[in-house]
Amino acid sequence: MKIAGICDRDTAVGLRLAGIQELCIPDNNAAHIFKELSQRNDVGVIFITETIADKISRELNDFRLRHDIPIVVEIPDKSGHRTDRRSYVSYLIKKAVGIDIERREK
Amino acid sequence: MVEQIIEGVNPTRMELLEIRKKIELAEKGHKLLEEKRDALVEKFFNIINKHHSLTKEINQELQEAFTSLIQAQMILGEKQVEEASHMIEDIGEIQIQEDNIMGVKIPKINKENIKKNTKPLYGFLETCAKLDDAHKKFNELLPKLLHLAEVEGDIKSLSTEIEKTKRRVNVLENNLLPKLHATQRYIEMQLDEREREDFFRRKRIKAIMEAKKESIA
Repeated sequence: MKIAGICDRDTAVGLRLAGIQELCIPDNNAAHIFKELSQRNDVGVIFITETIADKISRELNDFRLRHDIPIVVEIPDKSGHRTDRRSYVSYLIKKAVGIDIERREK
Repeated sequence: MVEQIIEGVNPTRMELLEIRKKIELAEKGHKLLEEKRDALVEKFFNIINKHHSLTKEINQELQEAFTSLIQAQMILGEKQVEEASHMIEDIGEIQIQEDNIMGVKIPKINKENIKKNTKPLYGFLETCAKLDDAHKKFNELLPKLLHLAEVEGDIKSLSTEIEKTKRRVNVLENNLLPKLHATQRYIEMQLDEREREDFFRRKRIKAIMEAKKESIA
């Protein structure tokens, strides 16, 4: 199965340097691109930058609740990891355990 | 809340035995499910910790890789870098297999076919060392990103399983077991009542018969 990415221009260059060929750079049609990519059955992992994930969060969550593969992974883009948004993983943790778990560095 | 009994039971000794059997089974099941839930949660926390340290590592390394990339872009220009980036070998394909932790199916990524060090195919002339740096860093990052994907898959599968188990435990604890206990009590009370009635009736008949005997004699 292939590895794919939906990301901005700079991240695309970076991932391409890492050897990933299936890269999409959306401009305002991220939801459409994601839908197309997720319906192909030769894609195993989709990397998506946090900024784009934010824009299509509803489609993304809908999809992830129902499907296991492809695995969608959010990665930070060149401006760094965003702390102002709630990640899918912390949402899952809250759903499973019932409380938010946050780890602070000592 | 008013205790509810299971509808349609006859207060007979047979039913009572049946209900006792059911209670025993439900309690056994409840205990087992509870144990399963606790074990799953423990595993879940381990994976969360792993995920946490992994994301931290990746965030930092990605930052470094982007710094190199931006430096390369400053030296060569964005266009040149993008052209060079097309001249990288494809990394190959992964296989997604299934693994399981305690009966929960989780995705496992087989990275065997991934090429570790893809050689850049661009020439020395139009590029610079910073681009090589960026290439190397992104390349080293990829296995970690795939590992992250795997861990996130684990978290997803485990969290759904935990939710399911939790719901089952709750149904047993708050619905089925109280109902069964209430029904048991109800039948026991009915049987006692009947026994008392019988006892009283027998006493009564005995007294009447004795009175008759005396009047004859």
